[in-house]
Amino acid sequence: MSIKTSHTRLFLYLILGLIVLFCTNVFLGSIHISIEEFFRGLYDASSTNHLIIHAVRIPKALSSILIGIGLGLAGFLMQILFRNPLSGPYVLGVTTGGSLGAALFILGSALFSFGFIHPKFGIPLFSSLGSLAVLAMILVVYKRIKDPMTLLITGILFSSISGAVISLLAYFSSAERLREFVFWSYGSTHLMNTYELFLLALSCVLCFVFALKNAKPLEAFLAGDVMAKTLGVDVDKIRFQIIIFTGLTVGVLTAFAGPIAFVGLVVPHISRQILKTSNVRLQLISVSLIGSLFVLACDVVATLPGSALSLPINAVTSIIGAPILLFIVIKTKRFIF
Amino acid sequence: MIEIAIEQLYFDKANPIATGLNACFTKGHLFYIYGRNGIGKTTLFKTLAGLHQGFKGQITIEGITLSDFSTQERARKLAFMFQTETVYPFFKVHEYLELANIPYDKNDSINDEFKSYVIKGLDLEKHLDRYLKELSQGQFQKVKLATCLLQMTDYIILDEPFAHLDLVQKERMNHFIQELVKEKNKCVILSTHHFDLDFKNNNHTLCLTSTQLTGLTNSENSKEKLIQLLCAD
Repeated sequence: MSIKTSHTRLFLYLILGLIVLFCTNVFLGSIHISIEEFFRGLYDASSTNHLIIHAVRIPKALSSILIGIGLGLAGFLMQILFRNPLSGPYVLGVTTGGSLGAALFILGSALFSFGFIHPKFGIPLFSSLGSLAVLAMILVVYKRIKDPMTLLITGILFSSISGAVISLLAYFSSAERLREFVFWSYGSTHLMNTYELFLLALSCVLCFVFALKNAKPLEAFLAGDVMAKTLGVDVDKIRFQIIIFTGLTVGVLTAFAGPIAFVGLVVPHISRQILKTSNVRLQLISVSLIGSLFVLACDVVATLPGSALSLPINAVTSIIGAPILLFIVIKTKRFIF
Repeated sequence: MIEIAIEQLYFDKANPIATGLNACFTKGHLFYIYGRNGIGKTTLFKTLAGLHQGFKGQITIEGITLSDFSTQERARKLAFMFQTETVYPFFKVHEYLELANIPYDKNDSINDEFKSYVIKGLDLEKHLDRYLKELSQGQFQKVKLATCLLQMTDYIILDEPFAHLDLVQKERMNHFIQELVKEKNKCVILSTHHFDLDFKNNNHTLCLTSTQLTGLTNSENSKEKLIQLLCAD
């Protein structure tokens, strides 16, 4: 299928917006840097700003982009999988599984003596294990009952159980530990090293390539299960793969950036309203671009440029994301899947 | 040729919905299947399309057992137009038609000549760039039929294709299907509740009841016989 000029133009605008927001994101931060100092800092290694820009701000902007892409893609695929407009990366319980892992490490370290592991490795490790454990349980359930609605309910159940265990851990932990966990749960785009960025990028690329390779079968999914089956799509296999790829991506994201709300839910909706197409390839590109734009913008707001304070990214994505979703619902008078 | 010898058709083994269904469907012929509501027409069709596994017996397509086909091979042999489920609103008509390419690899996509034959035959040219949600039920019915035909299979199963169509559209679609069967040597099996369809001599009437699938000869009193069978069931 040929890509129409209107789509090309839209993507160009989005890419332009992404570049502008990326630069803004790198330029603005808690320490004010003037434009001349900024450009000097970019190239001159002896400048004090060099370190701020290269070690803090650029990785932070890159991680925002990757978080946006990963969550956007995961949300998009989940909504196709469940044929449900309220699906997002958290519905399978993978995010909460990650939180449970982090809670076990942070809150339970006194109880289980994990103290010997440095939090920098411990939190991502436990969070990934938590996500993987929930993912494994979901796959076990899916092998037995191949029904998306049951899967959705199972995900919600796992979320509730994880949430309850987190509450229990929180109830018995010290104020200091609790504070640490609450801060983790605010989400963060900060302090990602090259290795973490690489893993994040890898999971996004894998998810994107998987969806791109299966673009046609995914379009058949949009036309309904029966249609997909009559067209010879191996529905069960594709569902299984969607669970694996989105589960892993969300697991990695949660491990490094904490649970970030609303992005996965709202981004596919924005993309659908703008593109109004069933073409999955186009939607993959737009979901990735809009996801990055959204998180970059939220991150700029969260930094509160020029001030020593910063807001939790998780709160900002919700505060900005929810009204956008509400606007779409009011405008279209219904949730469109 | 599709041969069926179904001893039992069921959702739950203890309560079969139909028993003793034997029939043979050959290329170049069109089969109209009549039957009362809930008698199992759709379930029979789903079984033929490999979407319903609850049956005891044998189904073969050109001598090969249905379950031996891979899903992709089956989709190249047999197309199935089912009754609507809700559809994603942002499909444009031409995008929906392109779904028919899915069973095929990139290189052997749909023959353009056949594509324009179907689109013209069903009078869809002016709708190609519209969204599905903007179409009427009848227009959507034609788009679904076109997608099914564009799958380029020898065997085509249509579940109530004339539903939602007005008198003129219904007769046109019926003639188009008859022409397709004759000219392109296809085998079409369709279910309907309409008795006023125009029949040709390669057309066959079958009546599905809970105990058998009865073929009726095209004679003067076949309509009365059909009604008798339906009422007795």
